[in-house]
Amino acid sequence: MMKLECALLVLFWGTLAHAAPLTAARTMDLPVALDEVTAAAQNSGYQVVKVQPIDQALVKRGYPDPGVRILFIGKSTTMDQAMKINPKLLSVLPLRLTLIVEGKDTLVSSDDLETWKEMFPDPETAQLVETWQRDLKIILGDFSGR
Amino acid sequence: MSQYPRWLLVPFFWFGLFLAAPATAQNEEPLLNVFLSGRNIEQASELLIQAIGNHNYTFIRQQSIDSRLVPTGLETRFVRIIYFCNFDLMSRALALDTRTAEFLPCRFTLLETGKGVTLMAVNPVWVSNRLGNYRLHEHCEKLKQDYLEIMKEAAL
Repeated sequence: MMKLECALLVLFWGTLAHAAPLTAARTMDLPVALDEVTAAAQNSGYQVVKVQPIDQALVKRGYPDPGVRILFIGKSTTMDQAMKINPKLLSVLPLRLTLIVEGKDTLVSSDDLETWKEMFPDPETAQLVETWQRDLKIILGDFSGR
Repeated sequence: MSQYPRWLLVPFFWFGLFLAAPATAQNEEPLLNVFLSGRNIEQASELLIQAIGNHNYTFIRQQSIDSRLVPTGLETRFVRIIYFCNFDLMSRALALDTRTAEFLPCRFTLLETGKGVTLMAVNPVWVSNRLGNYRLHEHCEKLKQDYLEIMKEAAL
Protein backbone atom coordinates (compact mmCIF):
# COMPACT_ATOMS: atom_id res chain seq x y z
CA MET A 1 0.00 0.00 0.00
CA MET A 2 2.81 2.37 0.93
CA LYS A 3 4.48 1.68 -2.42
CA LEU A 4 1.37 2.80 -4.25
CA GLU A 5 1.14 6.03 -2.27
CA CYS A 6 4.83 6.79 -2.80
CA ALA A 7 4.51 6.19 -6.55
CA LEU A 8 1.54 8.57 -6.70
CA LEU A 9 3.44 11.23 -4.79
CA VAL A 10 6.52 10.97 -7.01
CA LEU A 11 4.40 11.11 -10.18
CA PHE A 12 2.45 14.09 -8.87
CA TRP A 13 5.48 16.18 -7.93
CA GLY A 14 7.35 15.11 -11.05
CA THR A 15 4.53 16.41 -13.23
CA LEU A 16 4.28 19.65 -11.26
CA ALA A 17 8.01 20.37 -11.52
CA HIS A 18 7.86 19.69 -15.25
CA ALA A 19 5.20 22.33 -15.89
CA ALA A 20 6.62 25.16 -13.80
CA PRO A 21 7.72 28.38 -15.56
CA LEU A 22 10.85 30.20 -14.39
CA THR A 23 10.16 32.72 -11.65
CA ALA A 24 12.02 34.91 -9.17
CA ALA A 25 10.73 37.31 -6.53
CA ARG A 26 12.22 40.20 -4.60
CA THR A 27 10.91 42.61 -2.03
CA MET A 28 10.87 45.85 -4.01
CA ASP A 29 8.40 47.97 -5.90
CA LEU A 30 7.69 47.58 -9.60
CA PRO A 31 9.84 50.40 -11.09
CA VAL A 32 12.90 49.32 -9.09
CA ALA A 33 12.36 45.68 -10.03
CA LEU A 34 12.08 46.75 -13.66
CA ASP A 35 15.47 48.50 -13.46
CA GLU A 36 17.02 45.49 -11.75
CA VAL A 37 15.72 42.94 -14.22
CA THR A 38 16.76 45.20 -17.12
CA ALA A 39 20.30 45.29 -15.73
CA ALA A 40 20.24 41.50 -15.27
CA ALA A 41 19.14 41.01 -18.90
CA GLN A 42 21.88 43.34 -20.15
CA ASN A 43 24.45 41.37 -18.14
CA SER A 44 23.46 38.33 -20.19
CA GLY A 45 23.82 40.18 -23.49
CA TYR A 46 20.11 40.90 -23.98
CA GLN A 47 18.68 44.27 -24.93
CA VAL A 48 15.35 45.66 -23.85
CA VAL A 49 13.07 45.91 -26.86
CA LYS A 50 10.05 47.35 -25.10
CA VAL A 51 8.49 47.85 -21.69
CA GLN A 52 4.74 47.31 -21.90
CA PRO A 53 3.15 49.19 -18.98
CA ILE A 54 -0.10 47.22 -18.88
CA ASP A 55 -0.84 48.61 -15.40
CA GLN A 56 -0.65 52.24 -16.56
CA ALA A 57 -2.60 51.56 -19.75
CA LEU A 58 -5.49 50.03 -17.80
CA VAL A 59 -5.52 52.61 -14.99
CA LYS A 60 -5.56 55.43 -17.57
CA ARG A 61 -8.76 53.93 -18.99
CA GLY A 62 -10.46 53.55 -15.61
CA TYR A 63 -9.75 49.86 -14.95
CA PRO A 64 -8.28 48.51 -11.70
CA ASP A 65 -4.50 48.34 -11.49
CA PRO A 66 -3.43 44.72 -12.13
CA GLY A 67 0.15 45.48 -11.07
CA VAL A 68 1.55 43.93 -14.24
CA ARG A 69 4.27 45.11 -16.62
CA ILE A 70 5.93 43.22 -19.41
CA LEU A 71 9.52 43.48 -20.51
CA PHE A 72 10.38 42.29 -24.01
CA ILE A 73 14.03 41.37 -24.46
CA GLY A 74 16.11 40.01 -27.30
CA LYS A 75 19.44 39.57 -29.03
CA SER A 76 20.20 40.48 -32.63
CA THR A 77 20.99 36.84 -33.42
CA THR A 78 17.82 35.35 -31.92
CA MET A 79 15.56 36.02 -34.88
CA ASP A 80 18.04 34.57 -37.39
CA GLN A 81 18.39 31.40 -35.31
CA ALA A 82 14.63 30.90 -35.06
CA MET A 83 14.17 31.63 -38.77
CA LYS A 84 16.79 29.06 -39.71
CA ILE A 85 15.79 26.31 -37.28
CA ASN A 86 12.02 26.61 -36.86
CA PRO A 87 10.13 29.74 -38.04
CA LYS A 88 7.21 28.84 -35.77
CA LEU A 89 9.37 29.93 -32.87
CA LEU A 90 9.24 33.49 -34.20
CA SER A 91 5.85 33.73 -32.52
CA VAL A 92 7.48 33.70 -29.05
CA LEU A 93 9.96 36.45 -29.93
CA PRO A 94 11.03 38.82 -28.56
CA LEU A 95 11.29 36.88 -25.31
CA ARG A 96 9.08 38.11 -22.54
CA LEU A 97 9.49 38.66 -18.81
CA THR A 98 6.36 39.44 -16.83
CA LEU A 99 6.59 41.53 -13.65
CA ILE A 100 3.72 41.08 -11.21
CA VAL A 101 3.23 42.98 -7.95
CA GLU A 102 2.36 40.69 -5.06
CA GLY A 103 2.11 42.69 -1.83
CA LYS A 104 5.55 44.14 -1.12
CA ASP A 105 7.20 41.75 -3.56
CA THR A 106 7.60 41.88 -7.30
CA LEU A 107 7.49 38.52 -9.01
CA VAL A 108 9.27 38.14 -12.35
CA SER A 109 8.45 35.16 -14.54
CA SER A 110 9.30 34.06 -18.04
CA ASP A 111 6.96 32.41 -20.51
CA ASP A 112 6.85 28.65 -20.04
CA LEU A 113 9.08 27.55 -22.91
CA GLU A 114 9.18 23.94 -21.73
CA THR A 115 5.90 23.26 -23.46
CA TRP A 116 7.30 24.58 -26.75
CA LYS A 117 10.07 22.06 -26.49
CA GLU A 118 7.47 19.35 -26.03
CA MET A 119 5.50 20.53 -29.06
CA PHE A 120 8.59 20.69 -31.28
CA PRO A 121 10.82 17.89 -30.03
CA ASP A 122 13.29 17.83 -32.95
CA PRO A 123 16.84 18.20 -31.58
CA GLU A 124 17.66 21.57 -33.18
CA THR A 125 14.46 23.25 -31.99
CA ALA A 126 14.82 21.74 -28.54
CA GLN A 127 18.40 22.93 -28.32
CA LEU A 128 17.48 26.49 -29.32
CA VAL A 129 14.64 26.60 -26.79
CA GLU A 130 16.98 25.19 -24.15
CA THR A 131 19.44 28.00 -24.89
CA TRP A 132 16.70 30.57 -24.32
CA GLN A 133 15.56 28.79 -21.17
CA ARG A 134 19.13 28.75 -19.85
CA ASP A 135 19.55 32.48 -20.59
CA LEU A 136 16.25 33.32 -18.89
CA LYS A 137 17.22 31.24 -15.89
CA ILE A 138 20.53 33.11 -15.62
CA ILE A 139 18.75 36.47 -15.92
CA LEU A 140 16.23 35.58 -13.21
CA GLY A 141 19.01 34.17 -11.02
CA ASP A 142 20.96 37.38 -11.47
CA PHE A 143 17.84 39.42 -10.63
CA SER A 144 17.10 37.47 -7.46
CA GLY A 145 20.71 37.59 -6.29
CA ARG A 146 21.43 41.25 -6.93
CA MET B 1 -14.48 -5.35 -3.59
CA SER B 2 -11.33 -3.27 -4.02
CA GLN B 3 -8.32 -4.12 -1.88
CA TYR B 4 -7.65 -0.38 -1.41
CA PRO B 5 -9.34 1.67 1.32
CA ARG B 6 -12.09 4.08 0.31
CA TRP B 7 -10.13 7.17 1.34
CA LEU B 8 -7.71 6.46 -1.51
CA LEU B 9 -10.48 7.06 -4.04
CA VAL B 10 -10.34 10.82 -3.43
CA PRO B 11 -6.63 11.29 -4.28
CA PHE B 12 -7.09 8.87 -7.21
CA PHE B 13 -9.93 11.00 -8.55
CA TRP B 14 -8.02 14.29 -8.27
CA PHE B 15 -4.86 12.74 -9.65
CA GLY B 16 -6.86 11.49 -12.62
CA LEU B 17 -8.18 14.99 -13.23
CA PHE B 18 -4.68 16.40 -12.91
CA LEU B 19 -3.37 13.98 -15.53
CA ALA B 20 -6.28 14.77 -17.81
CA ALA B 21 -5.45 18.50 -17.94
CA PRO B 22 -2.19 18.20 -19.93
CA ALA B 23 -3.93 15.73 -22.25
CA THR B 24 -6.51 18.42 -23.02
CA ALA B 25 -3.72 20.92 -23.64
CA GLN B 26 -2.17 18.54 -26.15
CA ASN B 27 -5.41 18.49 -28.16
CA GLU B 28 -4.96 22.17 -28.93
CA GLU B 29 -2.36 23.34 -31.39
CA PRO B 30 0.13 25.84 -29.91
CA LEU B 31 -0.15 28.12 -32.93
CA LEU B 32 -3.00 29.55 -34.97
CA ASN B 33 -1.95 30.06 -38.61
CA VAL B 34 -3.50 31.64 -41.66
CA PHE B 35 -1.73 32.13 -45.00
CA LEU B 36 -2.36 35.21 -47.14
CA SER B 37 -1.50 34.11 -50.65
CA GLY B 38 0.00 36.63 -53.08
CA ARG B 39 0.31 39.42 -50.50
CA ASN B 40 3.38 41.22 -49.23
CA ILE B 41 3.94 42.16 -45.61
CA GLU B 42 2.81 45.78 -46.07
CA GLN B 43 -0.50 44.70 -47.58
CA ALA B 44 -0.99 41.99 -44.96
CA SER B 45 -0.31 44.43 -42.11
CA GLU B 46 -2.81 46.92 -43.47
CA LEU B 47 -5.50 44.25 -43.85
CA LEU B 48 -4.80 42.85 -40.41
CA ILE B 49 -4.94 46.23 -38.65
CA GLN B 50 -8.25 46.95 -40.35
CA ALA B 51 -9.64 43.57 -39.25
CA ILE B 52 -8.40 44.16 -35.69
CA GLY B 53 -10.39 47.41 -35.53
CA ASN B 54 -13.46 45.72 -37.03
CA HIS B 55 -13.47 43.21 -34.17
CA ASN B 56 -13.45 45.81 -31.39
CA TYR B 57 -9.76 45.52 -30.59
CA THR B 58 -7.33 48.43 -30.34
CA PHE B 59 -4.22 48.42 -32.51
CA ILE B 60 -1.23 49.22 -30.29
CA ARG B 61 1.84 49.16 -32.53
CA GLN B 62 3.69 47.27 -35.22
CA GLN B 63 7.40 46.64 -35.37
CA SER B 64 9.97 44.56 -37.14
CA ILE B 65 10.86 41.50 -35.07
CA ASP B 66 14.43 42.74 -34.62
CA SER B 67 13.45 46.34 -33.92
CA ARG B 68 15.86 47.94 -31.40
CA LEU B 69 18.12 44.89 -31.66
CA VAL B 70 19.86 45.99 -34.86
CA PRO B 71 20.74 49.53 -36.03
CA THR B 72 17.79 51.60 -37.29
CA GLY B 73 17.24 51.06 -40.99
CA LEU B 74 18.75 47.57 -40.95
CA GLU B 75 15.72 45.77 -39.48
CA THR B 76 14.37 42.80 -41.38
CA ARG B 77 11.47 43.60 -43.72
CA PHE B 78 10.16 40.04 -43.75
CA VAL B 79 9.08 39.42 -40.15
CA ARG B 80 6.81 41.85 -38.34
CA ILE B 81 4.83 41.85 -35.11
CA ILE B 82 1.48 43.55 -34.67
CA TYR B 83 0.35 44.21 -31.10
CA PHE B 84 -3.28 44.86 -30.22
CA CYS B 85 -5.68 44.43 -27.32
CA ASN B 86 -9.17 44.79 -25.96
CA PHE B 87 -8.72 46.63 -22.66
CA ASP B 88 -11.93 45.29 -21.14
CA LEU B 89 -11.05 41.69 -21.93
CA MET B 90 -7.48 42.24 -20.74
CA SER B 91 -8.62 43.69 -17.41
CA ARG B 92 -11.04 40.83 -16.78
CA ALA B 93 -8.50 38.15 -17.70
CA LEU B 94 -5.81 39.67 -15.47
CA ALA B 95 -8.29 39.95 -12.60
CA LEU B 96 -8.90 36.21 -12.90
CA ASP B 97 -5.26 35.21 -13.20
CA THR B 98 -2.22 37.45 -13.64
CA ARG B 99 -0.47 34.62 -15.51
CA THR B 100 -2.60 35.53 -18.52
CA ALA B 101 0.01 38.23 -19.05
CA GLU B 102 1.77 35.42 -20.94
CA PHE B 103 -0.37 36.21 -23.98
CA LEU B 104 -0.97 39.92 -23.38
CA PRO B 105 -1.02 42.22 -25.16
CA CYS B 106 -2.32 40.16 -28.07
CA ARG B 107 0.11 39.80 -30.91
CA PHE B 108 0.29 38.46 -34.44
CA THR B 109 3.60 37.59 -36.06
CA LEU B 110 3.75 38.06 -39.84
CA LEU B 111 6.26 36.15 -41.94
CA GLU B 112 6.66 37.04 -45.60
CA THR B 113 7.86 34.36 -48.00
CA GLY B 114 8.01 34.31 -51.78
CA LYS B 115 4.39 33.18 -52.11
CA GLY B 116 2.64 35.30 -49.51
CA VAL B 117 2.47 36.07 -45.81
CA THR B 118 1.89 33.66 -42.93
CA LEU B 119 0.04 35.08 -39.93
CA MET B 120 0.84 33.33 -36.64
CA ALA B 121 -0.48 33.74 -33.11
CA VAL B 122 0.01 31.70 -29.96
CA ASN B 123 -3.24 29.87 -29.28
CA PRO B 124 -4.73 31.34 -26.05
CA VAL B 125 -6.66 28.12 -25.34
CA TRP B 126 -3.43 26.14 -25.51
CA VAL B 127 -1.93 28.53 -22.93
CA SER B 128 -5.07 28.48 -20.80
CA ASN B 129 -5.16 24.67 -20.69
CA ARG B 130 -1.57 24.65 -19.60
CA LEU B 131 -2.21 27.20 -16.84
CA GLY B 132 -4.93 24.92 -15.48
CA ASN B 133 -7.31 27.69 -14.34
CA TYR B 134 -10.74 26.60 -15.56
CA ARG B 135 -12.16 30.12 -15.00
CA LEU B 136 -9.94 31.44 -17.78
CA HIS B 137 -11.17 28.98 -20.32
CA GLU B 138 -14.22 30.96 -21.47
CA HIS B 139 -12.13 34.12 -22.02
CA CYS B 140 -9.46 32.22 -23.89
CA GLU B 141 -11.99 30.45 -26.09
CA LYS B 142 -13.40 33.86 -27.06
CA LEU B 143 -9.92 35.21 -27.68
CA LYS B 144 -9.07 32.24 -29.88
CA GLN B 145 -12.24 32.66 -31.93
CA ASP B 146 -11.52 36.40 -32.28
CA TYR B 147 -7.95 35.70 -33.44
CA LEU B 148 -9.22 33.26 -36.04
CA GLU B 149 -11.93 35.62 -37.28
CA ILE B 150 -9.48 38.53 -37.51
CA MET B 151 -6.95 36.46 -39.43
CA LYS B 152 -9.59 35.04 -41.76
CA GLU B 153 -11.04 38.49 -42.43
CA ALA B 154 -7.55 39.75 -43.30
CA ALA B 155 -7.14 36.81 -45.68
CA LEU B 156 -10.40 37.41 -47.57
